[in-house]
This record gives sequence, structure tokens and C-alpha cells, in this order.
Amino acid sequence: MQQLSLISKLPSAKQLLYVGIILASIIVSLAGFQTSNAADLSQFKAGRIIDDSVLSDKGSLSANEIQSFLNSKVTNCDTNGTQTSEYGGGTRAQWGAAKYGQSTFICIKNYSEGGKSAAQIIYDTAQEFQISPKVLIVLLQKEQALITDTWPLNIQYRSATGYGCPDTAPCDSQYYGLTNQLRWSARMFRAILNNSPTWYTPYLTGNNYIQYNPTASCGGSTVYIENRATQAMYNYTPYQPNQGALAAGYGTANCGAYGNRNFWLYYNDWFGSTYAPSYRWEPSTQTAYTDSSLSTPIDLNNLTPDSQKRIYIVLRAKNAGTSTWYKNAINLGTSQQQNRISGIYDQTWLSQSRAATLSENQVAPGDYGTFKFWINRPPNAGTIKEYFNVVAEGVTWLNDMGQHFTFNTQAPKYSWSSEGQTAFTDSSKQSNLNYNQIIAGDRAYMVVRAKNTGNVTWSKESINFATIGPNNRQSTVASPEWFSPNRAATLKEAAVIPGATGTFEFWVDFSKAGTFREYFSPVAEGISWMNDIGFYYEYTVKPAVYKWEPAGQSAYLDATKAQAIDTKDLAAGQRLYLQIRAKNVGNVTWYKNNLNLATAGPQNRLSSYQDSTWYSVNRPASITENTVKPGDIGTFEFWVKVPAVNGTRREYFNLVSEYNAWFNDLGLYYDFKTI
Amino acid sequence: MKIKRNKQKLSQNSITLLVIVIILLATAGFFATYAYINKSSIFGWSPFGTKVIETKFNTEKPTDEQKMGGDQIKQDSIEKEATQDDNTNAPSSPIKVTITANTVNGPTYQVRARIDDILSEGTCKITLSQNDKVLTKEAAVQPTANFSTCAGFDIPVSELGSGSWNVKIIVTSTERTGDATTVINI
Repeated sequence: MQQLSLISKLPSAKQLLYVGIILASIIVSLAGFQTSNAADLSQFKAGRIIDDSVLSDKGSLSANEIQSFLNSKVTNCDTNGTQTSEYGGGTRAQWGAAKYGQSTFICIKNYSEGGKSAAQIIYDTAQEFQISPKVLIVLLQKEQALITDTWPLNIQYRSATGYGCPDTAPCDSQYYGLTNQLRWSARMFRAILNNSPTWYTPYLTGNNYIQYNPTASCGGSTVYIENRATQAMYNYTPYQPNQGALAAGYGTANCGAYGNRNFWLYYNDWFGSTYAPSYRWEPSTQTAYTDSSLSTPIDLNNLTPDSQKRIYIVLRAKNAGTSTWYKNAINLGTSQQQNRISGIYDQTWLSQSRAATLSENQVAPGDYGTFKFWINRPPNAGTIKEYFNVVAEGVTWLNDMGQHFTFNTQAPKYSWSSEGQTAFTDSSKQSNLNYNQIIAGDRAYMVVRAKNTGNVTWSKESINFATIGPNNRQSTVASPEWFSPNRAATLKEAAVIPGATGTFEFWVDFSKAGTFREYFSPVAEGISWMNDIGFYYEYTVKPAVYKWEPAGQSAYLDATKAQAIDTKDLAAGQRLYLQIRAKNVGNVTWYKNNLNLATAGPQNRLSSYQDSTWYSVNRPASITENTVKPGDIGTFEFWVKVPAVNGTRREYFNLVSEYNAWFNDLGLYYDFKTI
Repeated sequence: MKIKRNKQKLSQNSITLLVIVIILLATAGFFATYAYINKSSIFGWSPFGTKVIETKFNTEKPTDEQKMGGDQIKQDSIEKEATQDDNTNAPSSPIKVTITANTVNGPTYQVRARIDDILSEGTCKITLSQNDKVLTKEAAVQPTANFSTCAGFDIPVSELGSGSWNVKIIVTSTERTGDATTVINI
């Protein structure tokens, strides 16, 4: 029974069916079939067809988006005109051939001119004249229906925006062509938006009498034109829709004119309101400086590793909306992704995703606000884009204009060029080295002037002059002053900026005879070798020839050399003063303290005539002159002390270049006879 | 005793109807789920709010109304093209001139005219008269999108003085001429 009563409470199948149908209908209707809704023309205001910032919104569509839009409006293009002509005469191809000699039709999504697609032409024109590409698209539709036309005629492209087409005369051929038409239209819009003093317009902002139709008898009314964009519309199409035209939607009416109505309708249906939103902005200028006093601009597209780490940015933004901006309420935030933590964040920012607030206390619609802030430039080489957008905090993000800063940082480049190389005989750089007269044992003081052709400042701590060919080759002319046998010198200046010239100065010692080519290059130690420009020194070092000829020898009673003495009549213990004059007939300059008179026969013989004034028992004296060049005569003067031994002794002497060579032994001697 | 069971049998038709109901509910459920997840129905409208994606433009095919509007525009263009020879102004035909702006804007009297032709050359001459006082100025003709205008006139109010002035603009281009008149109260 229980079961039976339950069954009896079940709804009948019919009841279930009705409930189901009702439920399904409700859900399906909620899921929604879209009704076709044209914009509500009761909202059309003759004095405010479109706002200035909407007409100026050049970034409202990209070229790709324009192409996508054009594609969406013509899905099936009747390129070959196979469908029946709306104007009679058979197919569209037949009608077109008969009427215009045209049997194929290129829809705007496929149209190109001068190698550019229509989409690209629209985009380029928009950018050139800072006019919204949406406006240009609608212009093409309202004048020639090119956006929706599935078989457009050439004459429609020829006068695509209707520019130069008066109501009472044929179109002017000087304005023909899609590109030409778009550019003239955009130029005119821009001139009117800018209130150009050279572009006069019959219709001004303020009160104007606007007809309903070219036929004056159709009437008209005084329209208060509220903005320049609407002024531009009336100066393009000087009629307003009458009530009949407004009531007809996209249709026609008696005494109607449809240009401005159709513009408004198509724009609203395809792109939304022609009115600027409450919050909207347009970038004006963006500049970068090295300092907050804005004295030195910096090119973000050409940053070098040397460029300043912190950069000061100034971004001017036009308030293109209808709400006043206030400081601390309107900020510049990171975008793409919104609130992204910025890689160029500076500690002076409001936060890691808020670069700055307005500099001005308030910015009225149409006025310009400024965002000023520091950034830390990207540390690594390469190109980085940082996107920003204006945000009304707690209210909304403004229209994303894709505003960004492009940081193009060059990779570090260490390179150089030679600005000159000079060799001197001494570090005072008074006397140039004669490359033809380099003798083994000579030294030279080298000066290299190197221009920094890279993009990194050279510092004394890191830039050295090194041997190359191969890198770090052991030099044959390294001097003790070098850091190592492969590092001749470091930079003389503390720092050399790119474009400036630095100096390397170093000694070289020509220790060996022969011809040598020594390659050098600056090196950034631990970082990079610089470009090898083939910089080298070539030396031909002649063998040193130590040779002399006697130029006289004398003996005196004392150092005054006033009285000569006979060395064969000496007394034991007597001192006498000797002088030997020697001519340098070798190729080596003699230097005092290096060129000595030495005992000979045999060399370094211990002399029994040594005086206490001798350097040693086998070195009576050095030359008295500081230098004796080849061909000159040097002098040795020294005391000898006669030993307490009777008889005759012969004392031989010769010249010696200490640590280098003994001279040719000419058998120079003194005979000493002690009685 | 045999107990009679009060058993209701579902007819064949009822079962068919039930199946239809289930299919309908399933279909509706699919669309509803799609609309909820995507915040937009397959057909464009959704009861679950707008998906938070900024759409820059309408990517749907043009509506019949939009196409009809386009067809009308094209037809007007073709008809105008066909009659353009008839519209060609004769060398001696008058130039149609309309005064479109006639206003005092601060210290300046601004008057503008629309010339219903695209003239690449010509002269506009404005004559303002008040009793025996006459002021004339000239400006060039400037072509614009679909007509021409006078490259003027911004006249300092100080040159006129107060009162009512008769204004006449005469446009001359080659052998053609036209004029328009109005009155301005300073």
C-alpha cells in the first residue's frame, strides 16, 4: 500500500513533459540567443557626434586588429561576381563588365595599394595623423560601404572616403585612390582638431546652422557644436539627420541626410560609444634624463654599459576622459601584466608596481598631467620593454595605450684604435729613439696613445697594455719595470671614457741583437681582450761593439796635472796621477759607472800599484765623462801608488763595459821603474 | 484472496515524451554550463555577466540592418557616379554660397561660408555695410573635403563698432560667381 500511494503521487508523463519544456525554454533563453540591436539613435546628439579624444585615438587598433575586423565583416567575398546583380544586368560580373569594365571585385580585406594592405594603409594613416583607425574604418563604410561590401567596385576605392566629392559636381581626381583619400581625410580631421590657423572651416565650435539635406528647403536647425571632433564631422559632411532619418535607423527618410547618422550608427555598433569614458588618457611625450633637473637627456634606445644606472623619466599624459585627475588618486602603474613587479623599480617609487603619482594637484579633462620618476635601467645587454598604464586607484585602470619604454642596452664592447706610437731614449721624452741605431743593451721609452673606441670607460685598475700574437706572449724586450713579461704597462690616466684617448708608457730593453716584431694590444684584465689592430713595434737590434783606440796617456805628479812625471824614475811609496784618453770606436755609448778601466794581462789581474782611490784592486777608475758617444773621446784619471819593490814593472790596462763585454785589448800599459 | 495491485503503467508515448524532456534538459544544461563558464553564451548574451575581457571591436558579421545601410550607401554612390556628368557645373553656372557661421567671439567677428563646389582657385570678398560705412576684406578660396570655404574671415570687432551690419560674401572663381548675405549685430 505504501508503495502504491507513492506511485500515485508521481507526476504524470504529460506533467513531466510540460515542466521539462518550460524549464528547457527558460534555460535556453537564459543561455541566450542574441537579438540584433542597432545603437539607439535617440541618444544621437547633433552637437556631439564624437569626442575629440575618441577621434584622436590612433592606438585604438593595431594593423592586425584592423585586418581581423575587416575579415569579420566580409566572410564571403564575391570576387568573381557570380551572384545576381542587385542592379540588374545578370550576374554582378556581367553588370560590372557592362557598366564599369570590371568583372572581378576585391573586397577590402584583400585589397592592397602600393604594396600595402588596406588594413596597413588605414593603420599607417592613423599613426601619421593621430586619428583613430576606427574612425577611418567607419568613414570608409559611411562614404562607400567598403567595409561590408562583398563586391566593391573600383570607383568605390577611388573615392573611398568621399574626399573631394562635392554634392553638385564630380569627384576631384587629385584626391583619387584609397591611400590618398584616407590621408586627405585624416589630414583634415587633424587640422581641425589642432585648430590649425591655416585650415579654415565653414563650421565652428559653437552655434552653426546645419541643414537636414543638401536641399535647403528641407530645413535645418542651429546646432551648438560642442567639440572639435564634431566640428570636423560637419566640415566633412555638412548635414545633420532630421527626425525621420533618426527614426529610420539605417534606412532612409524624406529630406534625410545620412552621413553623420551612419557614422554614429556604425561606430556605435562596431566599436562602442563615440564619447570618451570618464577615465581615459593619451600619452603625450616621454623623455628620459640623467638627472631630475632635466638638464641632460639620455637616449634609452642607445644605452651602454657605461650609461648612468638611474634614469629620470618624465611622462606627459593628456586627460582624455571626462573626469578630473587628482594627485595620489591617479598613478602610473605597471601594465601587461597589471600590477607587475617592475624590473626597473626604484626605491623612490610608490611601490614596486606604481612608478609615480601625478605631479600636478589636479588635471582637468583636456589638460596634461605629468608623471616623474626614477628608474634603474636594466643591467644586462639587450632590449627590454617596460609597459605602464595610468590607473585611477580603487576605480579602474585607464585605457591601455601600450605605453612603454624601450631600453636598448648595448653589450660591453672593449675596443681601441691607435692614435700614435712614439719611442724615446729616455722617460723625459726629449729625444726620439733612432730605430736604425738600436744596439743590444740599449733601452727605449715607449709611448702609445690609444683611443677608446668601445662603449665602456677604461680604468687604470683594469686596462693594461699586453703582449699578443699570441696573447700573453713572453716579450723579448720586457724591462724590469714591467708587471710581468707580458704586461708592459697599465693605463696612465685614471679613466678614459669612450671616444677619449689614453696613454701607455713603458720601458723596453733591447737585450739581444736581431730583428724583432712585438705585437701589443690593450686588455681589460679578467674581462676581455680588445680588438687586434695589428699594432706592433719592429726593432732591429745591432750587436754591441765595444771598441776603442788610444788617444793619449800621461803621468803627472798630482791631480793638477801641472807637472808631468817620468814613470821610469819612481821611488817606492810614491803616488803619481795617470791619465788615459780613449776614443770610442765602437757603436755603444759609454756611460759613467758602467765603462771602467780595468787591469789586463790578464784580465782582472790584481795590481800591486793599487791606490786607495781605486774602486777595487783591478778597477782603477771609470770614465770621467757622463757619456761618451761613438767617435768621442773618454778619459780615465786615477792615482797609482808605487810598491816598495825595486825594479821595472809593466802594468797593462784595458776598458771594460761592466756586465757586458771587455773591449779590444790594445796592450795599453805603463812601465814603472822603481829605484 | 488475490490482492489487486493498483499499478500504473507508463504508456509508450509517455516514455518517448520523457526521453525528449531529458534530451531538452541536457541540451539546455549544456548551453547554461557553457554560458556560466565563459560568461558569454554561444549566441553572444549571457545571464552570468560580462566576461572581463576588453573587446576593441565587434567581430560578428554585419547585421542585416548594417548591410542594408551599406547597400544604400553603395547605391547612392553609384547613382552619383552615373549622374556626375550631369552635375558638372557649367562654366557660367552660379556658385552656391551659404553662410554657416556668423558670430561674435570675444573681440572677433567670425563669419564662415560654405561654397558647394571644390574650387582650387578663387576669391572671397566680404562687404560689411552700415549706413554709409563700408568695410571690405578679401580672402582666398580654400578647398576642403566636399566643398570649399573662404580662408577667412576673422574681423576685429574694433574695426566695426556697434550696431547692425549687413554682410555680403561674394565668391568669384574663373568665370563663375556666387554670393550670400546675412546680418550681424555687434
